Amino acid sequence: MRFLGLDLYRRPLIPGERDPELLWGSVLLVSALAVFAWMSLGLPTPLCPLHVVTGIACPTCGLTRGLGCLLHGNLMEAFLFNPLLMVLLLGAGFYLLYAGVVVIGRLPRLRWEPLSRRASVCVRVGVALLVAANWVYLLWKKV
Amino acid sequence: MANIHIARNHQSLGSFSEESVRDGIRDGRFTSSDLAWREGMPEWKPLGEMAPQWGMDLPAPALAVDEHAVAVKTEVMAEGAEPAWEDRESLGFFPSITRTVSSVLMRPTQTFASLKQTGGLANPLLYFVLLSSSMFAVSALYQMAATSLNPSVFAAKLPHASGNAFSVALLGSILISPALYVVSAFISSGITHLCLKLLGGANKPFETTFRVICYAQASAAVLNLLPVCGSLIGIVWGAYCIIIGLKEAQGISGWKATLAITLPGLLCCGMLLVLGTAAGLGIAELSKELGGLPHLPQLPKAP
Repeated sequence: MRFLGLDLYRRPLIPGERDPELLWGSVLLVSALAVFAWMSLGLPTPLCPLHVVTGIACPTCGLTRGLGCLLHGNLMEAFLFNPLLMVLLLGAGFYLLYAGVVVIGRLPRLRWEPLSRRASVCVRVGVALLVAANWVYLLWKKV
Repeated sequence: MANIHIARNHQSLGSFSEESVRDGIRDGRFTSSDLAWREGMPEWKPLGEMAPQWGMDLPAPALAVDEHAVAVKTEVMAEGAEPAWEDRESLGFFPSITRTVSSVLMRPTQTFASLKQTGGLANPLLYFVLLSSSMFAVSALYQMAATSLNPSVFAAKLPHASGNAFSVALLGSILISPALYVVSAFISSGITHLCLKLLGGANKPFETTFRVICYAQASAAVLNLLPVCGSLIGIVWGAYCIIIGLKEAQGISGWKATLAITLPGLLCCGMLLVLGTAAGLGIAELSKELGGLPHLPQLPKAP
């Protein structure tokens, strides 16, 4: 399937290939459990030096507060703290689910490749623009 | 017609059009032992088996000669001599650690230039977790000893870093540190590799980035043994070794490697540096326009 200049397809693992879904699914799961335990215990969380010194939000500001809201089930509030990172967290949740299904079910894996060099550049520029737009939002909202 | 995916040494080489695969077989880039897959196939099969079915049957002798040449070339490219840690069965456990630490810290360019590109994640991960956890334990014990030797000083100046509860917390963190180091190895390598991909510098697979990060960071962690400023030196030297490692192992320029490891920090907190530099430049420009530094008012002379 072709989508936004990318070739999306499902293929079986190469014989002897390291299973990326198993690897990154495990890392995500352990990280999620560690973050959950850390925040549930109320242990101290790191402060952003830029925010502390200047009062200006950095592109990742609002993550800890957003996570706190997520733990209490306030999805909308969490989203408003840092939309891009919350969407990424949601994506990580979906990835975990997908990884669990394909690893347990031994199913073909979803892969994508840029169809051209131009598509590859577009993806990179798109990521940079997303980060920039998210940062403008954080500065505007004074998160 | 869908592209053909080619794999070698358990790794994908990418997807190619039929024409490219035909050319690749002819000029020796692809061999009959490479694995091939295209949409609709339930599993990967040797290219030598699939090529005739796709109308690419070439004279067998030519393919066999090329196969040998490419296999030898691939082996030479994939197998470097470093690090000594992966040769610990013949060198011995502790000598292999000391040799790896000294070669990474003292000769990073040569070490990472001849780093084995493949060989799995287990060896570098074990090295990383062993050294990092041990150095963390040494630092924690050093801190505990310091607080117990001067309890009154620490209780007055650092109330949170003294007392029995603090010692218990430190011991607890020593016990769980190996598990945390396992996760941190994957997360830091994953973020670095993602940044390399965004910068167009991920010429080799994730495994290569992972190996560089593990060997460089763990070797630099040994510098924590130096009193007072050891951890700071370790951070700086570790970053330097990672930059050199990525440059050599991924075959990219130094600035790209530097940007890849600083990008997450720049995104998060490095804006302080940008703002500071901008403020400094602004002041310099202003003072230039005013004809040098502003003159201070003359103080009246003391009677």
